[in-house]
Amino acid sequence: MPDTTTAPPTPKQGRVAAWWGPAVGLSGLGFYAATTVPEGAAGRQIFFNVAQPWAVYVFLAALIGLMVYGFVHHARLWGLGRPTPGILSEIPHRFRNAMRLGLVQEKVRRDRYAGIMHWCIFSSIVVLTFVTAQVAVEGDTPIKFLHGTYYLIFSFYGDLFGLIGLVGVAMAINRRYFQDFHRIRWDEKIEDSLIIVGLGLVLISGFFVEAARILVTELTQHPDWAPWSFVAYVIAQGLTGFHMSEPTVLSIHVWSWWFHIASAFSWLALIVFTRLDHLFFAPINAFFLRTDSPGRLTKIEDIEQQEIFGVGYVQDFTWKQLFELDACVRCGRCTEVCPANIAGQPLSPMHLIQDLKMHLADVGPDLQTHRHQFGDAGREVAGMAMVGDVIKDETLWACRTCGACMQECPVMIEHVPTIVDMRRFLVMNEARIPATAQAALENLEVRGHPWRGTSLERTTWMDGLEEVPIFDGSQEYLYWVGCSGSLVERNLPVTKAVFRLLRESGASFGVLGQEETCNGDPARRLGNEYLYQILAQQLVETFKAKNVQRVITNCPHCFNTFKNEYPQFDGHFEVLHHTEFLDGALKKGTLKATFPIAADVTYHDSCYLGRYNDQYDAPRQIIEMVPGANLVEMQRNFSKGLCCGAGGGNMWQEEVGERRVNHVRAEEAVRTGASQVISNCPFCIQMFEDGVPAVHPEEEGRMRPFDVAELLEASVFGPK
Amino acid sequence: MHIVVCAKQIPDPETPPSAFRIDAASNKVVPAQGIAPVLSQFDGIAAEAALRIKEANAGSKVTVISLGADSAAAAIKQVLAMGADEGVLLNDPAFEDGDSYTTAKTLAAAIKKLGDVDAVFCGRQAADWDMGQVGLLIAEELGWPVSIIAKGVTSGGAGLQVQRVLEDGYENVETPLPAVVTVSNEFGEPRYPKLPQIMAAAKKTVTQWKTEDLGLSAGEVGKAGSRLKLETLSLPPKGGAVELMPGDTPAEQAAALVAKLRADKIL
Amino acid sequence: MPRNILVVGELAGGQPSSTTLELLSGAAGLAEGGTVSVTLLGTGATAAAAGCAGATTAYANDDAGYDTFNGERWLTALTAACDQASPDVILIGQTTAGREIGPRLAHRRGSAVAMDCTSIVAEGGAIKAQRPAYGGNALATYAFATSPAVATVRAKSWDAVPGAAPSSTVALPGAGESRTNVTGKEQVVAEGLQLQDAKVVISGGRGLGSAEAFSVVEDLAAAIGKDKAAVGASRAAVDLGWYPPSQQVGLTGKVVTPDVYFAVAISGASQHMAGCSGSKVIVAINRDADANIFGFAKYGIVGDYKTVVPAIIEELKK
Repeated sequence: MPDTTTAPPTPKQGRVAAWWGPAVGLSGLGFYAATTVPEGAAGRQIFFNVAQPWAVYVFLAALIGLMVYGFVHHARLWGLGRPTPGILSEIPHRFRNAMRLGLVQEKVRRDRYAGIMHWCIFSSIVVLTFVTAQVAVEGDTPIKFLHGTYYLIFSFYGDLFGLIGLVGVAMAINRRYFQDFHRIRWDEKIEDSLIIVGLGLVLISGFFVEAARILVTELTQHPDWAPWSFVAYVIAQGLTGFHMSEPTVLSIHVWSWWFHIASAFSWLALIVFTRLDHLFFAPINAFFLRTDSPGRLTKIEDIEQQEIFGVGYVQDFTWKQLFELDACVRCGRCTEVCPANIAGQPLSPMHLIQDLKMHLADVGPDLQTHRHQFGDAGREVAGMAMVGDVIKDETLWACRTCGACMQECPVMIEHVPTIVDMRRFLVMNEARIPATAQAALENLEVRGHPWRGTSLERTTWMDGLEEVPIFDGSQEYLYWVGCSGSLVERNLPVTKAVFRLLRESGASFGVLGQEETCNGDPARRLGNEYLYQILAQQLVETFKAKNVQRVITNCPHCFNTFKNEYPQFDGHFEVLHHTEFLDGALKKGTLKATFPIAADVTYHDSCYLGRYNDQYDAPRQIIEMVPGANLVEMQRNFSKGLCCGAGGGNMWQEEVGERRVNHVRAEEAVRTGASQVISNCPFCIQMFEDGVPAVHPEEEGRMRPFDVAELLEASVFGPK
Repeated sequence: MHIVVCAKQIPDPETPPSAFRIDAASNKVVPAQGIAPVLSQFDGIAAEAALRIKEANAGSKVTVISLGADSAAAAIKQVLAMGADEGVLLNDPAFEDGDSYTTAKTLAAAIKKLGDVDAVFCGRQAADWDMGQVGLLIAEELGWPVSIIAKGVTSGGAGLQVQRVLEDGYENVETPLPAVVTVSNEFGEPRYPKLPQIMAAAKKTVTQWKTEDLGLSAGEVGKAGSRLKLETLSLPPKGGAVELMPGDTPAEQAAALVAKLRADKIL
Repeated sequence: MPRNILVVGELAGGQPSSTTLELLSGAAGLAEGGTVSVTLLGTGATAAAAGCAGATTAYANDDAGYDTFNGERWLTALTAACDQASPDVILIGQTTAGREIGPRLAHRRGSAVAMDCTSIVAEGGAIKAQRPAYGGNALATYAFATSPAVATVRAKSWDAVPGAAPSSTVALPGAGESRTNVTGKEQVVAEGLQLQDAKVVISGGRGLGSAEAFSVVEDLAAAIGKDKAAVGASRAAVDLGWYPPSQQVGLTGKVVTPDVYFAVAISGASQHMAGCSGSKVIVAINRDADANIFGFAKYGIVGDYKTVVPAIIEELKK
């Protein structure tokens, strides 16, 4: 997930990750300084004891050839995709992403162990590549610099990063073979062992080459130089114990050298054939990462002119979507945090991406041939349906669009838009929809809200309140109640609470009452982009006609839609979620939380306020300003928060699988021991209302779900 | 096979009770603000049944007919979007405020005018008046056999195989063509229209017929021709105020309830 | 004003059905000196005619060809009965047969039918039929511009009263031809007591939250007695697959009129209330004090069914 929603900063890891940078920088300086040092100082013979050093360049040429082949092969498959609009806009921003997410690897560090391991391996490869390059320059160009002090420093950091690499390899081996780490096993291939063991062999053989050379040269000739190569020095010291003759050592040296070179190039060749290709694809995908809000789904332009709606065939994806399939490293982080997967429901984002990747490899070449012959990729070419056979319908419907997968993905794959694209095909092209979701969509179309069977009206919540002002363009804010806030019984108290607090704060605001209609969010997330566009266009026009400038929403879904998606329809409004407004009012002093609420409360981050809009603090600060309320965090919180289960239209679907997501999340909330679970979203509250009693059957002492506004209302106005 | 689906547009049955109003002077339901009329649920299901037979029989055609005002064209479009081929709107002020009899008579006249119809599918009842007789009366007007409250319809041999819902189960009925079938909700949900079909339906023109197009006279349709006269339409009397059981705990409330029911000698 | 009334009777287990007896009792009130006659068709009809209290003439035929209801066969016989009885009013039960017979017979007699009536009265010399419309949101009253006035009547709209057996029985023709043929039947037998026959109906709704939660409702039925109480469900619960469609109470399901109707976690949508509003006492148990159901209920408990229902079961054991 892009810029706005990275993990809370963890400075220690930040420093670790930055180490290799100075190392490279210093060596660069050293390189420059050393070219000025006179010959005869510390140094060594390049390609010592090796008869055919030019073989390195044969290997190198082969490697480059392979890489070009691999790239062309992949690129032709990516080329099957549609154009990717805007992919080359905001280049500086994209470079920053590539640096931050590709080189500095902010996402990788979200798993601490993997972060350290990956940094060890990554920095080792970068620095040792640089070391090798310097050796090549010294040996095969007139530039001579590997002597004197710089040679000693060079020897030191070469060994240091070799050792760091080995630490990384050891950590990887430990996790894979000794800890039997769960998500590594979800989709394991032989190549995974080849990469790890291969890298270990490359590094160890490198040390042996160095140790053998030191044993016959520096150890006797320049014993003060030798310790700079401290790893090789230790090995060499150890080898002295075997009392080998010099020819034996030289023989060990030459065999190690060949082994080292062969294994190093073989390992590098894995880039072409295995997930090691993420070495290139991850930073490139970071460059391609969207620069707008992750809360925004793509708009199908000129929808009435399309011949196919959404993505039903692999060639309907954009080439960027096909590209990122190749970036996937099967790390399983997405699947590990996926609420559907956690509840045993039929969705694993990792397998979804991998299945698409396999499908592309399966049908891609035939599609290319077809395109070559007939000018288009051909929908009849693939032997099996991508949507339905390769990716099952229930997999697509299980997605909550919560964005946890994208948040965790270290190679910046954007799963949710890909899933929604396929839903669009299911809904608009094929009309294959779970019955209950269909009912919600039909209800949206016919009645302008998704709550089939409600017996409430949009104005029912006003009963018992004094005059509720209707928005007429003269007020500063439109208070957007939303369908859930007005048509679902449980949410009426929240709507009333927000209303009372807004009035108490002295804000100038009004509501639309009967004129509210759904803004289309559920339709868009369920894949009916056509219906969404109709609803969105209508509402943008209504807002403009009524001169709406600022909107306060009850619901984070409405908030996200107005804020991030309505600009696609030329609707530009300043949008606040009610927690943002209330937080501001408390800080300004226009609201005062005076009555104590003595309770332990836990806070649940809704996906669309938190992960998608980076608003983690305002609700928490409100809770902190309520006297007596003690915030107890759940284990999964902030950007790692777990969806309540309702997102992505799952509010209106029956769940298929072992458990219900809201039961899982309710369990996590109950485990904090808090007496209230506070949220900011009408859907989350409903899911907790259902989930808490399910996991805590006794009514006695049961945790109760509330909105932040309800908590604050009780503190501002006192007991009712 | 040519199947006619009769579709009625009705005030939304899901109008919240608090928004449901009756104009006593005209004996009519006042349309609730912001709540658009809808296709009667059972008629959508009838359309689904017809479309499934169309799909199983190459060369078949489905025509949707509605009797109603201009707005009823939306109900026709909805069935066209599901996959029906043609739409006819029987739209004439003279048709207004009729009873089941005049409605059936007018629809039957339109079906006769179409000429080559093999079957007529209706919803088991319209979800506004819930009478459930238009399908039967069309059959009587046309002199066709009729099978009502179907949960399944297939075509085969010389006729239709209808699975009917009974109070205690189902029965299978074989009927020759032409025939009328009314379809119940047990049949299953109507399909969700595919977007390409929604767009195609939007482009289709709906034929409009008036009294004279059907060879009828103003005196025999609508209110004038009705046999059943609506005298009053009113809100039902509300039940007496609920008596909430006293008590702070479920046990106390339960005790109060059981005592009440026993006192009333009904338990 | 004397009226001739014809009741289209139905047999249940060789006897006139309870609805037939209710219609006869209602007919007696409407006849105002006219005749009340009844038709019965199928095996044992002639014998059963003796049980048609309040009718003066019974039109019957014992042909087994009438046993399985067939609209066209019945219509031929009923038309013959009408020819002889020349009724001013025809009363039919709102049953599977009645739903079909009502409109068709009315049409064949050149008149109209009011379906699913809850009350038929003679007012100022004219028959007025009252029935719910708009899913129970409205009450409509009709008059007839043509004769005979035909009505199908909801069960329990009248109470059956004892009366004299018919003095004469007239034979109707045997079952004739029909274009439609019943080729098979599939009985879905609800376990134990039928919903419509139960003195107590306990229905669960969407608020139960799961199919498993119906066990709580079933426990309450068991506590009241398996011979008295049956379990129903709202359409929302049936649509979610929590309970079989045969147990659905509501406009498109069963219409029940028990002594006590327990609505457990049911919001009280009008289409559901259309199926249970004829109950003598409605008891609402709902967590939401504003739920629509409390507008119909006589007694209510605001609370979680998970604790309230077990408490009632406990209390009943005392």
